[in-house]
Amino acid sequence: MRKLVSLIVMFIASITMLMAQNRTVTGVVTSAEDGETVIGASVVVTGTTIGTTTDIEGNFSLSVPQDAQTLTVSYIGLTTQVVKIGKGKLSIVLSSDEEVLDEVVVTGYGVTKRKAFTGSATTVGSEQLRARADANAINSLEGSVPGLQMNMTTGQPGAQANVFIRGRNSLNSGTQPLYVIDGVPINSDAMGGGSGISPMASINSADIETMTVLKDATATSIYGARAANGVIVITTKRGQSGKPKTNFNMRLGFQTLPVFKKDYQVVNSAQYWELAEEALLNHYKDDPNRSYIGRYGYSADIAGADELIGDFYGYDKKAGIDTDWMAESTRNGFFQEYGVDVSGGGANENAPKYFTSFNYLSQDGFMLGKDLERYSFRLNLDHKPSKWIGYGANANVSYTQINNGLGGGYFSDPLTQVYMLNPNIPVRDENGEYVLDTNTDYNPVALKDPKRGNKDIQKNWHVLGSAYITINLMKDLVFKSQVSMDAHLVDELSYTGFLASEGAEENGYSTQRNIMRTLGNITNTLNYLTDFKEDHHVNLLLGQESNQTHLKNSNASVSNYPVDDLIEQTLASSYTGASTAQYDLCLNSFFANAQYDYANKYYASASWRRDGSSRFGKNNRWANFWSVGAKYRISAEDFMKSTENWLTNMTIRASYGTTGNQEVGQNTFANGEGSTSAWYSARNLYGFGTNYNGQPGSYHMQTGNQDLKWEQTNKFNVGIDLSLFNRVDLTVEYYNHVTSDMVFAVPTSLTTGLGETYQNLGELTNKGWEFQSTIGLIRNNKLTWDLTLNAAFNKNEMTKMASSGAIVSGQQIIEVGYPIYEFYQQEWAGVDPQTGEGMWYLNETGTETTKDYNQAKKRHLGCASPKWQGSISSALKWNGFDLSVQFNFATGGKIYGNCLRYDEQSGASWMDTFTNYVYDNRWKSPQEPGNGQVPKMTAASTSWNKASSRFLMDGDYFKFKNLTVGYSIPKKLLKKAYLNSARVYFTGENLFTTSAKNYRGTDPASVNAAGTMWWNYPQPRIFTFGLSVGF
Amino acid sequence: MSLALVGAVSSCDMDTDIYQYKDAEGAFSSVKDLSNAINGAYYYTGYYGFMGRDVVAIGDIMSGLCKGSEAKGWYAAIGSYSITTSEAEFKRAYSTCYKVIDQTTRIINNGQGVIGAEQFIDEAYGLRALSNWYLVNLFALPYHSGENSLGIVLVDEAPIEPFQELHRATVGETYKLIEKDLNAAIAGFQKDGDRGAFYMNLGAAQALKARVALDKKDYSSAASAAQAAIAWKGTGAADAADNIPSNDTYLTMWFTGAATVAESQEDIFTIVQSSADNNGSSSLSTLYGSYENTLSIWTESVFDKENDIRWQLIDQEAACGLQPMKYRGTSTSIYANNLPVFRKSEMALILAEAYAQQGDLAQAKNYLTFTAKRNAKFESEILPTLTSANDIMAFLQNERIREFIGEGHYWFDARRLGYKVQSNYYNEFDIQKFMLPIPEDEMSANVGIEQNTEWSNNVPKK
Repeated sequence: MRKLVSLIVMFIASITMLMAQNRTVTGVVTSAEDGETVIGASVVVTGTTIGTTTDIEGNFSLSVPQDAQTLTVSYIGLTTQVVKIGKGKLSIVLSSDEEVLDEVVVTGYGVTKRKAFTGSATTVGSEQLRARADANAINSLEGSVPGLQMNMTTGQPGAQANVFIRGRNSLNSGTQPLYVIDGVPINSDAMGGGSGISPMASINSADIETMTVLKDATATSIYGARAANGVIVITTKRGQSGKPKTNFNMRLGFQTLPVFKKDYQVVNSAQYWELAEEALLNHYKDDPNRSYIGRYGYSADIAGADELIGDFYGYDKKAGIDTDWMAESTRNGFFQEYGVDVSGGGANENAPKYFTSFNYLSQDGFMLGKDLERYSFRLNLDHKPSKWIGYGANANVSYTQINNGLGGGYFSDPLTQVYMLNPNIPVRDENGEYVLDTNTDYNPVALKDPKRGNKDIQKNWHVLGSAYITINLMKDLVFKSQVSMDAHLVDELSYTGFLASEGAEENGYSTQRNIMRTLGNITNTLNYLTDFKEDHHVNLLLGQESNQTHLKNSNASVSNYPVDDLIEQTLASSYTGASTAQYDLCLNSFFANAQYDYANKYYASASWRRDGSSRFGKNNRWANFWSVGAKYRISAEDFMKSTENWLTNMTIRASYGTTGNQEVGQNTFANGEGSTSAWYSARNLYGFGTNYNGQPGSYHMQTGNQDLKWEQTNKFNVGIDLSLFNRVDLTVEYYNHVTSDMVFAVPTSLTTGLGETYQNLGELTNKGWEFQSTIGLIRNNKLTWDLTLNAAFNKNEMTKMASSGAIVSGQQIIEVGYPIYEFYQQEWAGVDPQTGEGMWYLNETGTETTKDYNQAKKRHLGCASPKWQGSISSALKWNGFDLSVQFNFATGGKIYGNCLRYDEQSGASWMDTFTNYVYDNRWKSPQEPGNGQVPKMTAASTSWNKASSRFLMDGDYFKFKNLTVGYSIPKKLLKKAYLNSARVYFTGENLFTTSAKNYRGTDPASVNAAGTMWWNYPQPRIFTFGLSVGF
Repeated sequence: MSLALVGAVSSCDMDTDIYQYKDAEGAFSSVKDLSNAINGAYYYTGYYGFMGRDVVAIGDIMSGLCKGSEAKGWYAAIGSYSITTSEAEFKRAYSTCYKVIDQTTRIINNGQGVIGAEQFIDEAYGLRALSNWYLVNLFALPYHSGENSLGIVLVDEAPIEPFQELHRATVGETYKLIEKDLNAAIAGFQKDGDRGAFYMNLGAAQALKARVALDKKDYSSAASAAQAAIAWKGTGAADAADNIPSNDTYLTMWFTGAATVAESQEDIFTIVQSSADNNGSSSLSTLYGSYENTLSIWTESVFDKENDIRWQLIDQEAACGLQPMKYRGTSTSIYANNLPVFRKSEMALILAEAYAQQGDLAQAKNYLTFTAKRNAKFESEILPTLTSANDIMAFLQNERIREFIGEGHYWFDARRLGYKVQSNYYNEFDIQKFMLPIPEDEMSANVGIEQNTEWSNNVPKK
């Protein structure tokens, strides 16, 4: 049928050609995405008004003047193409806007062509973002951006992830990147108590068009003061000329506990009895008089041990109770999301363009009583009523509510309790009442009882609004002014109820927190863009910015509630505290940027910024930052003509420059009440609140340092970009970051009354390699298959420090010549095969062992940061079907299982529970020594559970992060239903993780950057089904 | 928002407002400032790093009198001497004591000449002496081990500046500073008066002076200072004839059932912990409550369970074991417990010890009886058996346990008198040879402070 139509068209066309001095061009327009024909695409003779649109079959026929050379073919959402008018029927394939992304880089205060960009940046498009069912869109960057390390310490809904771009670039100051949405810098600190709500979790990921991670000096220096840790620039969708388009999205699914190793699962009741009996009997054997059996006169056999356990703890071996606390504390958490957006603009360029959306998302965690609910609304508006003036506004309003309770890792958190509670304790007694008198005094199911349990209800209103005006002062000179406000209002009531032991002691208590945090920003820029003598392109930018943050916290605490299921504070009888506090920050800046390129071959850029911040003393308030970058497209040279057919692109680029960090003191914790306020780091301050006997008190809070100045990171970057056979894209980059004048929380003698003070001392380097390659294995109209490989290597090293000595902090050490997260602890030498007792290495080197923990010296034992990390992903499209998978990996880092000191204890906590690792590998006798790592069971207090490398593990993992299978219904069928597009899809996330053999935990990727594992809430396993329909 | 749009250039004010702090310059310019500062010093004295928990808990738990719960993990490792230089409790005790020392030194320096602030300065001297006494007795060897052994870093004329080179003084020098401060406090209180038992006062300064003299085996000074403290309290002579407080009052003063805790007939210096400001779950109340710290296995044997009223202050109902019941809170908050620092009963027992050591058995028994008659059979059955100074000293060892259990005295008693102590984990531990290590974080400052190199060689042999 299609052929017949074409024949007729061609026949008519040839007649037309004969009839006029014109000739007729015919062709068909298809979409690269699905191979379907495009209906209604505009086909215009370039530079004229002669044009037509494609018909229902995607065909067009156009009578063109004899001298016409090219046609411009365009369609909304697809890349406009200019094609040569050749002989015969044209076949034009339009790629989607998604692919256009690679062509443009959104950088500081503007957009630049990827071609002209001398820096280092990685862009992630909306399709990739939407593959994840996560309230926090930032989480989808995990594994997708080389050089970006993401640590999700908690997988709780809406929680904040820690992001390092090219390593940790500061020790005691801010380490997190700057986030910029639609040209507006935003607050990125988590809001509220506990693990809080990430501000990014209040942004609807469906609104996001692109996310660009800026890494090197060229890309980031223009952000000066806040750029040392990289910048993540987000743009949201905007309306385009043309008739209104409506999209509806729906997504339903559930999340579950991820599958993890048997080694880290707790024992059942029968196994517990075996271990507990063994512990009591071994204790008796070793020390009869002090052992429980000996002291209290029980018989030294299994019956005696069972009797003792029954008398002391009430566990009854014969009762057959075998509570699976993990199963009791977890569930299938329901996920649902509904969104609709409408976008469009008038037919001509002067009409307003709009994008508006509404989205509802609700996510129940897999642990009881942890959930998130969000409503978000957006309106983006652009209007250029005349050639000279334009304006627009962006508004994002969202309401997010979470009820997570304290974050994972706390003692009363359900996950912690799973690893503490004995399987012989039932959840409820015979009357159906919660059993509260457990071995830990907590019952996680009771704690999370929806009516009477603990609550931490956090409500967050987030308003992000901006307005801009542009004035074309001259043909090539544009003035732009943008004003914005990023505001969070948090209302949080955190209640500890009667079902928690500490709550019962006070008849319940609660804290009401109100937080108002605003960030106002004004940016004024002058932009001059011109081309001269055809091949010279110049882009100049001059700007000025002012940025002010204000924070106000209010707290009120009460205790002694009359009832256990109403939590408003007005009910309580004791008022235990009330406070308010306010903080201000101010940042003023001037900046300039210049870009020049010649003949699309040679590119150069330079930037400068001058920042002044209120965080510093008057002496050093202002600082200058700058960068230079250059790029050379070798493949565009004439002498490369011979390789043109296989070497499509070969470019080398390099940049150097400086960036700053003003968040001094953000990452330190001073002693006790003498906590330091990072907002006023330079000042010598007294604080209040140390009251006594009803009278106000004061204390010396921080010493301050008027000479405190900017921390500076010098960044060098060199990269090469290759495109081969139009199929293989390869980018390789090397970087070297040197952070100098690093603000150190220099430990001071505690005799000063304070533990530390800030000084600009110390130097830190991050050096690394990044590789990114996309290989088009198959690319034709029916089938495309792309494979993408990402890998990054980073080496972090302290190169200079405040004093000659190292700083030992917990299980790690900060020392010249070592990375920041270097483990430094006693090295476990395994179990004495004869006695089953634990041993450590005695000296800093050598193989001599000791059984006295106090005598064992600490050793350097490796670093928490992975050496290599990256991902492998594949995207396949065939006949409307799409299938994509992503695997993430990390290798070379260590994880210290702080929680294993309890989970794998052999000793006095024998009445709690144990993990399978202990059950399977413990020393039983010289004949059955287990794996040589787990000491014998005992009820005596031992030092074997003390911090040592017994609990230090390899953090390597390979994770099946994402699977998406979709089907787009053919346009032909849709037409009949008056639809533009329709896709159904399924996603599976975090499907499985393989980890190192010695790893015992739920997820090696859900550990903080310091590599310290507690009872972290792991990343959930999520399954969703989605439907998106466009009208 | 103070963003101003002026033409095309906007800016904000970089001298940002400070809303809840005060610049150090001028922080001590008024009587009110000094009042705030001395309240801060009391706050830290009652903080859980000091008298609010850690120093008191170390006193009873590291001396083997009480023990931590392995299941709960609080003080369990410390009690069994599975310790390192980085124990949080040691660091907190060290840093909190120095916080008080730093704060009081600032008050003494800046308050000179401020009319109306005289009492605050007197109190500051007293609190500084108190902190120094606890520090030197935790982190150095006892006085009798030798005046020239390593003491602590002294803060005298001026607060310590960051990065100042520091060295530990000797134990002898430390005691000299304590005595100097106490004399200044006593002279000051005699001139300016004091604010009663909830603040450092004349009686408290005398009480500490009595402890110091006892450490130095200067028994006559100890006796006269203790007498002065008792006289300051004014509720009787603390001897055999004195019945204040009565047995009933004595028992109820630990838990009145009221919403606030009033000054008791025993209090010479007591830190107030109200419902509004207390250490919450970091308190002694939690430690000897839901954290399940209990008496060691041998400790109950020192009590005459039938006749001694003080056995009633041991909780025998708790499933975890026997717990001291001195911190059970008020009717509205279990955390609101006044923290006794010096009591009349301690002065009586100091007198008993001082007289026994001097061979005045009659006076020794006279003062011993003040507390010992809380056992109804003491005067009829036990007192007649005490026929020598050695008898009295031996009885005194357990009498002080009965009287002060939960108040953290035993560590100091055992080190002063050279007791070999026992616990669930060890027997016959010569505790006077042991001292806490200087915290690792303090050593990290690298300003010259010497570590106690011998600490790990003198932990109990298990």
